[in-house]
Amino acid sequence: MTAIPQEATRSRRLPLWFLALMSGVIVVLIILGGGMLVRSQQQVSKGPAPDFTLETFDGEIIRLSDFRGTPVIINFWASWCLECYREAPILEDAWRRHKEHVMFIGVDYVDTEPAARAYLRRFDITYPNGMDKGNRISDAYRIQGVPETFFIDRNGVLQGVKIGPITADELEAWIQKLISE
Amino acid sequence: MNRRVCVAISLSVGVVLILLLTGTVSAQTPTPDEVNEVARELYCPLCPGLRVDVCYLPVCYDMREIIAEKLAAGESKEEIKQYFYELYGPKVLGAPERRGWKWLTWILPGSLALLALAGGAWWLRHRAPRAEEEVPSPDIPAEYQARLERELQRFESEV
Repeated sequence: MTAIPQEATRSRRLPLWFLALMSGVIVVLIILGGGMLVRSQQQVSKGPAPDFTLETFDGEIIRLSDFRGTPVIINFWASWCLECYREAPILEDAWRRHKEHVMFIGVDYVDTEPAARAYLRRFDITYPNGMDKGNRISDAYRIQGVPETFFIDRNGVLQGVKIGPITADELEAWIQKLISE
Repeated sequence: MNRRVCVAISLSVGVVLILLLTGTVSAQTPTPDEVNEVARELYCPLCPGLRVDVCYLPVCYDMREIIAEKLAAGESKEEIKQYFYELYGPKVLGAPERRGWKWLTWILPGSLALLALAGGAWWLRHRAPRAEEEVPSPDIPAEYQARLERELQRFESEV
């Protein structure tokens, strides 16, 4: 038997440009996947606290790093969050008792300004509060929802996080710990 | 007579003024359809993939109220969308941002499709016809070949 001559000499190997492009795409996909993985990680609960600036409802601009030397408690809340209603008076009461030693910052998460202002009036909240415009702060702290409270020592290091409404005893224990360190 | 005419004219002017005023007020108050026209281009900042016009979370209800207020104040749809973008970030627009490395999310799907097309085209053009490669040549004895030719010729002449 004799084989019919064919164009068997044609190469079946993929061209170099195609392989290079495919490699590039795979690298980009790995980078994107890695980025998504990092974003899906749990809250920041240790290490240096991400710095941020916040425009308060009074129009003042505050920066977290300006409070270096003083322990800071950051509370994420929203006017639509019913759990936040439970802890709002507790936070305000603690602020009034410890404002000489601890700084409180309220970060309003995914809210509307009229509703947020009504919330602050309702609970007579006097510590600085502002809207997290563009979710920059909540993204930096990778919060999972509200309420969440972060505890930062006087060196700007995150010491812990409380997910969900905080009780008066828990808050007092954290304040004492931060002051004593 | 003159007094009656004056009263009638005054009443007519009053009625026209009232109609004009209520017309102005109703023109300033956007209808639910007008509000929803903007709301359907915005996404709930809390529930992924749900539009503001169909979301019943309190924050979306508040957003619809703000849309109504802003429409009444004469703001355009784009201005309102920009306001919510600045407040809640890009996810409220339901599309990736078109800046920095986030352009990749716009470019990558099309590029992958083009690449797949180019790869497919290359494969179609360069694939070797495997079936033909393996077909052996017919190894027919010469007498049968000659007979086959004769039979075919006879068949064609009869037809």
